[in-house]
Amino acid sequence: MTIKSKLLAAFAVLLLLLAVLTGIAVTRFAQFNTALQRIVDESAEAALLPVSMEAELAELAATQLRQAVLPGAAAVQAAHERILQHRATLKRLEDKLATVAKPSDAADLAEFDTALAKIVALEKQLHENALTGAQDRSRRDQMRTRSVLLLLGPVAEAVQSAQGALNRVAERHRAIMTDEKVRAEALYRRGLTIVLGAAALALLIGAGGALWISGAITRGLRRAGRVAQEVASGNPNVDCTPERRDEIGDLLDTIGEMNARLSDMARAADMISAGDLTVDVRPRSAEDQLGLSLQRMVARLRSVMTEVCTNAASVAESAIAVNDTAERLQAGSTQQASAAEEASAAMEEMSSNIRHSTENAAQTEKIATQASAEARDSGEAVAKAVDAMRTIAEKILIVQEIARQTDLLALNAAVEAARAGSHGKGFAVVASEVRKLAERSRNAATEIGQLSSETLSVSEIAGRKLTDLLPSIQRTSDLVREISAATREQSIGADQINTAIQELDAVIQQNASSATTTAEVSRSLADQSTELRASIAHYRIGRGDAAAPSGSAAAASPPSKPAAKAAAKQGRSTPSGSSKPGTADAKPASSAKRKASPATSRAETSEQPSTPPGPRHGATEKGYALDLLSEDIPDSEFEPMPRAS
Amino acid sequence: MKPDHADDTASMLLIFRLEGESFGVSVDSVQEILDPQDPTPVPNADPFAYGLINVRGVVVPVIDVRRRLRMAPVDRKDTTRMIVLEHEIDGKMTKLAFSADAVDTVIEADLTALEKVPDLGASWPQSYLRGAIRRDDDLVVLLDTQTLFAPVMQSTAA
Repeated sequence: MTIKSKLLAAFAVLLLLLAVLTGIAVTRFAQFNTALQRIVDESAEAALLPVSMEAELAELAATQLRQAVLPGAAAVQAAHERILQHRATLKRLEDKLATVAKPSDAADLAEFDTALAKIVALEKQLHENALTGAQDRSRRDQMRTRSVLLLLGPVAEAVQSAQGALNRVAERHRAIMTDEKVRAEALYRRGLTIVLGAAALALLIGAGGALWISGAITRGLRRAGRVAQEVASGNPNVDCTPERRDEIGDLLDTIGEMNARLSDMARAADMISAGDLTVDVRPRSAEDQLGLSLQRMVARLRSVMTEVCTNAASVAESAIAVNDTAERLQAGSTQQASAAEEASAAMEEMSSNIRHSTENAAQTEKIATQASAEARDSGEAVAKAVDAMRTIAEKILIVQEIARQTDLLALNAAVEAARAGSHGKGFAVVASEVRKLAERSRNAATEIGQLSSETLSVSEIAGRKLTDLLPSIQRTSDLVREISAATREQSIGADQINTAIQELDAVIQQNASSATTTAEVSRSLADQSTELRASIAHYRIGRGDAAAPSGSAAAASPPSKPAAKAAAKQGRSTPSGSSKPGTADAKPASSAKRKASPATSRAETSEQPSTPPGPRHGATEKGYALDLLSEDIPDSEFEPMPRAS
Repeated sequence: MKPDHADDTASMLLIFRLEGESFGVSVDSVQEILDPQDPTPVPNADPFAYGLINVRGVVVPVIDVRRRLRMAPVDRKDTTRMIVLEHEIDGKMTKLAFSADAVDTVIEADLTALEKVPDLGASWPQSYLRGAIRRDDDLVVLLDTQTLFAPVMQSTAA
């Protein structure tokens, strides 16, 4: 039984139960509704109508009293009309009551009818009395008395009788209503019990069905999950036999099939991992991603392995070239280091020289500044001297003038003395002497004047020259200052250069050590590339013919066999296709052998895939299997071979 | 100067220079020696007496001696002086002034040793010269103040 049919059955049962339950509930509700309607429509109406009629009757009686008492014909007429209205209302209510009345009410209703008819009959008389009273004043009191007597007597009796009948009807109907209410309650309880019972039954059936179906699904799915987990964790021997023939059973079958296919792929991958690249992976369909990928992977691996083999050889070769370069670099670095040290020493010396120059320049600058200041002072001094000289020249003119006037005075004195005759002779002598003195004074003054003017011109020239000299000295001072500054900068620059050279030296040292490291690394790279090639030999690539890496297996074969050895050389040299320093010696021999016995070498290498330990053994030997000792090939066997592949 | 030597023949002479030559006049007529002054020119004056100067409050005419002696006019020099003479003209003492290139000295000269200026070969106007006296290596020409400054002579000469 499938899960689908189980679910359908359970839901069908549940739906059926729901329909039954709904039917019961609807029936019960209808019964209950009918009972309730009967209570409201009949019993309540029948209980309430007598009350209304009693009220109406009371109103009627009260109006009759007013009619009897009120004066005036109009009022009487109005009251009479009101009475008639009340009566009509009573009649209408009574008719309505008759429709809902029970047969047991018939006696009471008849009694009420009788009483009412009596009241109506009396009313006629009352009305006449009232009218008479209204029209004839003298008889009013008489009529009133008569009416009151009527009202208190027969009318009151009739009213009481009618009221009693109505009360009885009302009482009866109230009792009926109570009975019906009790019946309706009983109906409600029964219906509720039935509905609740049916609901409980449906609940039980539904819960049971749900538990049963979910249990089945859960168990099945748990098993399927376990199986899927096993398959996911890669166990190919998981038990996928279904317990039941349902959807979960189908799922288990599908998982089993999937597992089988995965196992196929796993076997293929296992073979690849074992190194057999010849395995033929066929994808089961165009959408078989794994199969396609595996197929592509194998194809790619084949080409990659071939390339890797080739590249490993060229890496080894390059590594040796790098090693050479690194060694040269190392040597160069050492030379650089010594050169840098020399440069550093020279720079140090230069730096000290420059420092000395800087000190000298600073001193020179100081001296030049002082010289400039002194030259300026000298210029001022000379200018003062020139002024003084000019003053002297002016003053000398005064002396000359005085001398001239003295001379004139002395001459006049001499004239006076001469005119005085013999008495003036002595005076004439004095005058003559004075004239001589004046002459001498004038001469001396003239000389002084000449000298001072000469000095003046000389001083002026000196002053001019000093003034001319001043800017030169100033310029010299400035230039020296500039030189001093430049030298200081030079000194700083030299220091910086020195530092830079020292840093350079450190860098060169580092380079030297790096070159050494590079040499070591390249050497180990060469070794590792050899190892790599040996590792690659583990893979079988070709379809039975001699693949290139398998040739290296020849290293394991006895070295005395020249053919095998040649094959080995060929195997090594073929992927690289270039000369190597290590194989250079053996090249001619291998070439010769290859030429001599190509068939043999092919035969040898074709056997290699059957002996897997061979390549492993070959791989452990680093470098190249050059067996120069075991067998010498006579020179006569050598052929000059052009390196044609 | 010989203090104890005084008679008629011995005369005191004022020696001055014109055109480098030494001339002499008697000291007796010499009033004063002055620094050169610019004469105030007299309008329409005779070139012989061309202007006036003020000597200590007295107006004195200036005589152009160089003109009378037929010498070219010269500019004033450091040594140029003015000699003021007192001279009798028409019995009246009159003051005169003239410019000399230089005034040398006052000497005592023996007038007996006066020599007449030779007539021939001299460019001098004979009437103004009294003669020449030897003084050291030099010759001093003694001028005749009477004729030299006489307007009459000047007019006759003219």
